[in-house]
Amino acid sequence: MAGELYKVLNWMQANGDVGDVDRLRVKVLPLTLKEKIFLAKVTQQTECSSDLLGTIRDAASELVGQPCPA
Amino acid sequence: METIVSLPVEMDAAHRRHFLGGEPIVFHCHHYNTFLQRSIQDAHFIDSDPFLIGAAAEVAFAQLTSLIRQEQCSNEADRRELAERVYSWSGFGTLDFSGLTVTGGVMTTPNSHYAAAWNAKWGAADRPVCLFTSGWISGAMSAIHDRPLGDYHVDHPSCLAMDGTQRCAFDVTATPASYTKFEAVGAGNLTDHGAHPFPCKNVDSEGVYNAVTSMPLVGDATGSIPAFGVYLTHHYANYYNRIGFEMLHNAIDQFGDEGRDVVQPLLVEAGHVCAFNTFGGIMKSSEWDALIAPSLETPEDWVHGIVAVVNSLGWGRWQATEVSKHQATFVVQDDYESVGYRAMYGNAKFPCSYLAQGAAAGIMNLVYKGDIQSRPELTPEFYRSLFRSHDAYAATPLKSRAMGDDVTSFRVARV
Repeated sequence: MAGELYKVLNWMQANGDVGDVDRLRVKVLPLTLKEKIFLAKVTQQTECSSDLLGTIRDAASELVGQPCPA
Repeated sequence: METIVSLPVEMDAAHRRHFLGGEPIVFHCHHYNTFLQRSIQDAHFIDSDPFLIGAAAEVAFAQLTSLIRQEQCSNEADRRELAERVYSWSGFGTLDFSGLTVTGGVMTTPNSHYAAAWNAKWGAADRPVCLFTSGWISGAMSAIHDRPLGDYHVDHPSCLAMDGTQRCAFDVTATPASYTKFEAVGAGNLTDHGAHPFPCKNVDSEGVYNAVTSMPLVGDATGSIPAFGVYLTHHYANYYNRIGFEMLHNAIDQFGDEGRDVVQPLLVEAGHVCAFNTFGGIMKSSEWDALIAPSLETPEDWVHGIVAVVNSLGWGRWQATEVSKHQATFVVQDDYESVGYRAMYGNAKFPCSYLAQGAAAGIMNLVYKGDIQSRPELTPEFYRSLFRSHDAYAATPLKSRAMGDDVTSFRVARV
């Protein structure tokens, strides 16, 4: 799963509103910290579980208002 | 003390702060109000309803208890009328307490600032949004009936912000409320200070202050204050303080520094939203054109001009002590966030004047990046172009009154 989270955040930056990534961070904070992931420090090497990736992708899609590409 | 539209508003010019019934009041617009509430509610790991409602009850109870005493309202009808007048004067909408008794009842209204703003800004809500009003009614009922804070529970079953709803409804019962009860802190400790000198001869700050604070910016028959392209409210500084800081503390309690790092950008972003919409609207207004623009010659003058207006909002004494297109320094005395923090929680461990931080950056982005002088439309696309790009201005705290410094200050520069 390395790099997938990074792609989601990049997609959000490109397609979302100002502050959408900040909103995502607060919405999924308990889940990301369970896997010791800090969304502000995600790199292409950051790995996460498929469950978390799916949750973050869903939240990103909802915030941006369009489906986040897999 | 100066009376405005029959309410005893105290204009404390020495501190650039305004008070009504002992509660510090500040101007803010519907963009800021809804953005802040939504940001707090985005944090699903925080049970925010109890403090979003409780903070409103806190300030309404304190303010109305004081005003009832001050205005010598001995009978219930006078007290109800006073509460209704304060609410609509403030721009929150309209309330009619006549159908409520000491045991409660049902109140409905077709006018709600929060509901209308939410609907206009975000579309139909999936749940009632008037948590502020729910708390305000509870606090007001306690004040009207000489009962302790927390003696009235308010349910909000329907809301204008939701599809197909024509009125907001509130069910009031004389049973213990489930919200968090806070002790009101009022004005807090203000400093004895003089104005910092600032390098601008083309802005008559005192003249602007006197002119803007004399404008009739009060609620109309629907309890709205449409001005400068936004809907203004005379809101409670300590409501904003309480809900923002409770969110922050909750996040820190649960997640430590990461909780703080996640919440802070949202509170600063709320300041950007405020500056963009309210300051942008002001700098495009006929009042600005008539009162301030004629003497402005440079972009720096525009910064000083809007700072002069900010001094009229009840936020504390603002000064831009150094301004260029490269950077600026903003010094704020008695900023309401710091004063409120210290009164509520003691000295802060980190700077926490987030609204001021975002607003200072917003001013610089509007003037130097957005060329507000050319009167651009204040669209979402324009907002994105100002605040998303990598060369946007951002504010860094230099001093924090909340932490015990003499002032709050920021350096604003391009990121």
